[in-house]
Amino acid sequence: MPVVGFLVPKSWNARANTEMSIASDVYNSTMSPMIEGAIEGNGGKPWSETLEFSYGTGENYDPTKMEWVMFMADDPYDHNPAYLPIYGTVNIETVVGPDNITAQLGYFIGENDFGIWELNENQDFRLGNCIEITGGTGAPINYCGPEPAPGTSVISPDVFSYNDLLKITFDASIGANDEVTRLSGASFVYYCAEATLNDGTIISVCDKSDKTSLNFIGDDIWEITVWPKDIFGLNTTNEISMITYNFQDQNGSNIVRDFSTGENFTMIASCQ
Amino acid sequence: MALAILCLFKCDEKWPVNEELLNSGSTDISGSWSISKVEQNEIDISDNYDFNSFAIALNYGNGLPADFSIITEAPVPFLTSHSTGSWHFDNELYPSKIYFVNGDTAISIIDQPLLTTGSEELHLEFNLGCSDVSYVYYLTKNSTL
Repeated sequence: MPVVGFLVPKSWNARANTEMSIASDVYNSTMSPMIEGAIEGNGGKPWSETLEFSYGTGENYDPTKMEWVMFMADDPYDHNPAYLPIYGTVNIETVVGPDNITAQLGYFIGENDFGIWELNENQDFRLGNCIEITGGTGAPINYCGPEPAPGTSVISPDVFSYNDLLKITFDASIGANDEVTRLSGASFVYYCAEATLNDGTIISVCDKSDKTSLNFIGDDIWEITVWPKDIFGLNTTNEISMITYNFQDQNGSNIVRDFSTGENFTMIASCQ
Repeated sequence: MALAILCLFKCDEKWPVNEELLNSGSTDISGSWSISKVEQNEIDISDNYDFNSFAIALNYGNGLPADFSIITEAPVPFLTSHSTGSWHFDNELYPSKIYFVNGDTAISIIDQPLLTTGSEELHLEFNLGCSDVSYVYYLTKNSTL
């Protein structure tokens, strides 16, 4: 049976949201998701693991956010060499997830009856261009772009909803080009944030008050714990679609944003 | 006889049974409670946020859980977003959950053997919207005037 591997963001849940078929002059079949963990016969490991090991996860900087989803033809084809090779087309129709993601998708075609035999060239693998999903919810996430600045600002817990208490840690010593940020050695640091609501309304908070003042922990490390509902004065956090923020000193002459993007930091509610 | 039958089904429950309270037939946690400690995913976050002004009054009527009211100066996340409403246990004799009701129903797990602590401390475990983030609020009863 022909198998097709499809490299997609996990959040798309492509196993449940994809229709696939294979078409050629001599052979046509619908395709169905393989059971998770289905084994690639030659190496003896699951197909998706084998593809990740052999072909990786493309340019996407966080492999844990991507998955190889496996599909197999419902009808067998004729193995008789006289009929091979078959030139055909695989049609893939998938529903993207809710997030504004840019990601690189990947495609593998192979053979389940015998598994991957490099010498027989009974498989092929291609990466597509990075594609951008727009019109979704939340801050844009570009898996193909530079990884967000590691360590300058960290949110805890790492999986959360906008109704949780969120601790934001700011390390003023981690700036661009291995230099410190403009707030290194500052006496006061404030949290300035913008919440975008589902209807497009933007609520800004940058009042330099006790409530938005970070606590100095030591060694250029600052912390603040916020409850978005409170800090943005909302009745419910259900309507928040994204939150971005930066750090500033008292008069706003020094502002620290995410140096890898040049934009504000993002708080992305990741709770499924 | 009724108690004996209950025991058949309930003696393997998580919490030990206080015979005295069992015989009295009620678990009384009436009064006003303040927050002494908060854990988020088992990490103590008590000092990260201002929980100090929060107080919840749990009132009884006719010996049964009746209404609650929450008073707080600084906004504090809690399992119910309402400041008043009614409350009840899942089971009067062997409570393992508290329900706060006002339109929608918010549920909290009682994370502590209620029946054996003299009811001066109450631990409530709940989520605020994400099942991956759990909170335990340690409540202490305020002394009555």
